[in-house]
Amino acid sequence: MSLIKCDQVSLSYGSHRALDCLSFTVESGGPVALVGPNGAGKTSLFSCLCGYQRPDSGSISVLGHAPGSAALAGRLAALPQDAKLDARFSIKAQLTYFARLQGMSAKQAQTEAMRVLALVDLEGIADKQPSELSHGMNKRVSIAQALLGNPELVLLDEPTAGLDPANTKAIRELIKSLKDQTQFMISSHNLDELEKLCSSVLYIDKGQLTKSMAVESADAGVSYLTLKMMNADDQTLLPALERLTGVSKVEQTAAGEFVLQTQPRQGHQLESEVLQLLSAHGWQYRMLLNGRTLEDSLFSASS
Amino acid sequence: MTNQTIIPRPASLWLIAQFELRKALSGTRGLIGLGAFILCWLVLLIYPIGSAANWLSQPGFIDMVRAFTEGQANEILSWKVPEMAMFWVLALYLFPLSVLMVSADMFATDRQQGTLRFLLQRASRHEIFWGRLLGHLILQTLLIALAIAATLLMAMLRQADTLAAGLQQALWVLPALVINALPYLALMALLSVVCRSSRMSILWAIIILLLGGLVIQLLTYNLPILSFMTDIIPGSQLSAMINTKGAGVLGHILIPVIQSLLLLAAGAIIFWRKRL
Repeated sequence: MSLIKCDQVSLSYGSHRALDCLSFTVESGGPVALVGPNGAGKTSLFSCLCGYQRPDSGSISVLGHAPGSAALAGRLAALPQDAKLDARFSIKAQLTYFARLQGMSAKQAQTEAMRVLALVDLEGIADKQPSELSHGMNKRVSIAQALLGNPELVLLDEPTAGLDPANTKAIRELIKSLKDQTQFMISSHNLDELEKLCSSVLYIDKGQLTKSMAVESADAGVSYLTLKMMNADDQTLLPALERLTGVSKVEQTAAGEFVLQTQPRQGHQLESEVLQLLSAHGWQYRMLLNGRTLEDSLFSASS
Repeated sequence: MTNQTIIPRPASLWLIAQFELRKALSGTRGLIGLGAFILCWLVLLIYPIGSAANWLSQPGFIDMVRAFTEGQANEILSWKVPEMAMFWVLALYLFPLSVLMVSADMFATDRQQGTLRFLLQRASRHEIFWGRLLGHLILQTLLIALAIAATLLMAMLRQADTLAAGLQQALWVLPALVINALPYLALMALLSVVCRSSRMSILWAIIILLLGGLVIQLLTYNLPILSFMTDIIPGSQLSAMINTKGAGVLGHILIPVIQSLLLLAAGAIIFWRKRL
């Protein structure tokens, strides 16, 4: 059974087409990244998957059920973008309430509320109200509510938006620690973060799915080597890289950043030649990556 | 959403209703609201109800009112506990007003802020709609019961042996007032689903009740054949309910029940389809 199946899903807000005949399938596996520019339809897609709104046409199946189905309670959870908890109740009271709605007894619900708060390192604020917390803390609490009852599928819409780097890393580590028992689908603009976390990517633009790929996939018959420089004369370095053995093409993706396209290779001969070239000119590199970044995979001219 | 369970689960309904009650009665806001309610009814009990009961307990005064109203107030004047009679007249109009204030934000703020999305992962739309309505209905019933209890206490302070007669009257008054308030509750449920804020819900309620009532009055005055339209607006039966007694106070419940069912059906359907 597919985790998520969307078939020709369309949704419009007035004259604006938010989702346009979108079709894709998500099977169980590692976390899935949902990427796209602002206004691409990511949040609209999540809203349809969670049952917050119905699409104008097409069909959606989540864990074998229609979105919003009672059968999904406790199995599907989500971090809705910009949703606020009730300002009148403490965090613990609300999480306990949610857990009780999922079928737990009062005592079980209280224990579960504290467990998920511990996962996001916020046990100490359980008795505080949302208005007493910072934006980052509220975001972490919202992530915690999505983990109540160990759901099978969790949709996270911009989980690290507005979080400082330390909290971003903590959330990333949390998702990594849970990914064996929970399937995540994560919408984010932070490609570096998604690259560290996700095993596949869905790229949406103007409401349509334009790319679906594995994060670490290699194109048939092609390998890549990514080089990021601290200091270098790009105009001299580029032709020098093109002359290296086995390099078929070099693309400069940004100042000081190069992606070398090669035949599939064994060993580290090319890496040695690159390092010797840099050493000969006294150039310092920042990063040498076997493969290419998610950003380059999605947006380079050759992708 | 096409597969969503139509029949709400009782346990979920009750949990959601309980949470609504807690929302209304706990915390600083809830306590201030409850305090304001108690204060208002205290003033009403001491002044209009307490004073009127003194007059109504004098036979000469009752004869004078009967003559003045040409027998149109015979039923209300014959209530055994005059405090309850005065309470009945005031409560008929005041509790619908309190419903407008208390229940204006059944869904509006939570919908705008996305709070309902947390609930939607755990409960169906039907459970959320009917559960919150149930919570507000219980709240109104509790407030009405509290006001009745205070009135009976006031009556007993004047005359100790009024309890039995007062309880007998309360037996009919409580359900009649709850049913009377139901269309207003249903109206606020519908408006808070449609409007973006509690303030807009109240404004639209005022427009519908006052302006709508005025328009219908003008229409029926000029076209008597349209007189059935007077039953569209909640509260059309209030004046007829004043001069009733005992079980007779339930004699006009059909109109508010039908109004409630229609308004709730509209609210539930809109909530089912609305983007949350």
